[in-house]
Amino acid sequence: MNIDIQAIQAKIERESAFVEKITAEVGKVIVGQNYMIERLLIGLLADGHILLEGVPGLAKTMTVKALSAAIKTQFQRIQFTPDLLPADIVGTMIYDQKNGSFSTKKGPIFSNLVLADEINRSPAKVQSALLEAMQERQVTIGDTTFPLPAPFLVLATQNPIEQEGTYPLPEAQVDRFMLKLSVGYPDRNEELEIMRRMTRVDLPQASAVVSPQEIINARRAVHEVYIDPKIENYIVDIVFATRKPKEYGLDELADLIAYGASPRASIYLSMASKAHAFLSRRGYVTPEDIRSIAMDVLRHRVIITYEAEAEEISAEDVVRKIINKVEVP
Amino acid sequence: MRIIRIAAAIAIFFSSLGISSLQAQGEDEGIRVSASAQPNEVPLNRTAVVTIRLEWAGDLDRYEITRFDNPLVENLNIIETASANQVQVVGGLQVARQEYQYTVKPDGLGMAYVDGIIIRYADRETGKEYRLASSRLELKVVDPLPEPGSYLWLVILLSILLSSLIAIYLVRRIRARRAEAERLARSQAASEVSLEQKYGERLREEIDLRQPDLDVNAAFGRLAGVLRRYLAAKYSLPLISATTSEVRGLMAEAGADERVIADTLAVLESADIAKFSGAAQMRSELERAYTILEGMLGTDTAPRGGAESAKRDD
Repeated sequence: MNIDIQAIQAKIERESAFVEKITAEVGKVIVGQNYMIERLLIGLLADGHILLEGVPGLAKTMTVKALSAAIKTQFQRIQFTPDLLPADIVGTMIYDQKNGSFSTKKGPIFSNLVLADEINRSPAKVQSALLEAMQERQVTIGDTTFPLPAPFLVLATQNPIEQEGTYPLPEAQVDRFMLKLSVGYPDRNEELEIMRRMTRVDLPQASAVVSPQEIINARRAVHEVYIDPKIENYIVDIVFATRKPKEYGLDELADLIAYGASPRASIYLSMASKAHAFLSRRGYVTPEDIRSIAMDVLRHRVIITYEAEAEEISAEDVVRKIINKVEVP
Repeated sequence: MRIIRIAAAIAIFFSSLGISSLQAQGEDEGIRVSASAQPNEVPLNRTAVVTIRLEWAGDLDRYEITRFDNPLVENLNIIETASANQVQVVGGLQVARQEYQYTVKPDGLGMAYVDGIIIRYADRETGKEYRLASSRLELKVVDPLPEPGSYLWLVILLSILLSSLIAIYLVRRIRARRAEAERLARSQAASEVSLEQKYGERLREEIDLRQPDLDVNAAFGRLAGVLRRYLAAKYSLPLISATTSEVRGLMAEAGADERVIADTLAVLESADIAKFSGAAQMRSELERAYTILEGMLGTDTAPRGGAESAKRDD
């Protein structure tokens, strides 16, 4: 089978033109954090929700706001609190006394970009309402089902250090996020630039430079990125290694993994690697794309045992060993 | 005074009872003779002392010993003699004593005997002569005792033997180690030399460029596999599970030559396009990559294997 890679390449060149614009616009506000910005774009292009985890003050919320500002689209931020109700997110039916009938009041989830800030501060019923909408991409209020707008992307943040008074997301619900990002500190030069930029009187603002249609077109192009069967097998090998490590010569991991990654991992790894290749202006997926994105796709899908926790081995350590062991095609 | 006399009489009586079991009684009750040997059981290489004791009441010169022959011995040799006189007052009564000691040494294992001695003496007061005989003594001669220092030679011999064994062991161990080190060095040298040969051979087995209907894309995959395995073996790096850009970093960290890194990347990047883009690659591209890899293997073998290098150059 010969693929017209030239045609795919040309389309990708054309459709990925907005990437530089959006990156430049976000870069006006955000210093550094290239990893986070690239992953947010991957989520946007691969139609996968993203969970951002990092200590406070790392510009998680600001980055999402800057990204949404760079796209001519609707953006809603929901601050998750313990007293939040599902109706505060999805909407509710309001009784109209004039007409004597109920009218629908749509919630903030009816936006293209939804920032669920500190998602683990709300109880499980609120989280479930959001996560169900994320999965179904539709919301039922009363008797009517409303589809969510396209593109629809949920970016949730959570703080890893304060666990008191929080409601940790169950594994089944974390699995619905395509990527879980671990946001780190900026380096010294970036910190200097952040300090200078944020202490100015006129804070920089991102302008809308990309339309939702451009995003939708780019998504179509991402779907056309060629993924060779060798790469597909490589993805499956990595995912299977999380389930049956002994078959991949990783005997030492057998007692450290309680549950391996779900088939969603294979799906998301494939989609995210295509988006990564797209961002690299490449019409086909290489092992580089898989290796680059695998940690973010797998770190929240590999459940480690108590033994691993006792030995202070994290899910990331396990995923890293697997990635470093499975032979590239 | 009377009490002292009674006590002396009792002492002499008990004294005479004690000796009586050993002594041979003479014709005159005035002199008592006793014979004893110490020890009764004598090792062959040791001596025993035979003591003949004469004892009487009164002064030492009361009796005159007119005949006292050396004892007759069987399986023994008298090697020393000694005698002693003694006067003692026991319970106010004077007692005279003469002792004759013979140091004897056994001749052989078994029983040894000291025959009774005939003693003749005369009472100086009365002028009468008497005759006495001592009892016959038996000695058991047993195995000789080890002499002090008799094992010294054995200890010295064993020490020499042990030292010799240790020295032999050490020499053999040093030689074995040297031999093992030489063998390892030879083996290592052989494997270093053969690494390029091995992968050169594998390259020729995997890809036959003379085949007209060669699947170029698949051949690129095999070519990249040979290169990765060769470099992984050469630099001991995990290149099998590394992507092309990671290969660059790993090789640079391992101190690989820039030219080798450049050649490696040229081959792997071409192979990546062939393997993953789905587009059919040109045969000329494969031949170019093949030539680069062949050159890498040939260049590495050149310093050690001139013949093969020359053959390749041809």
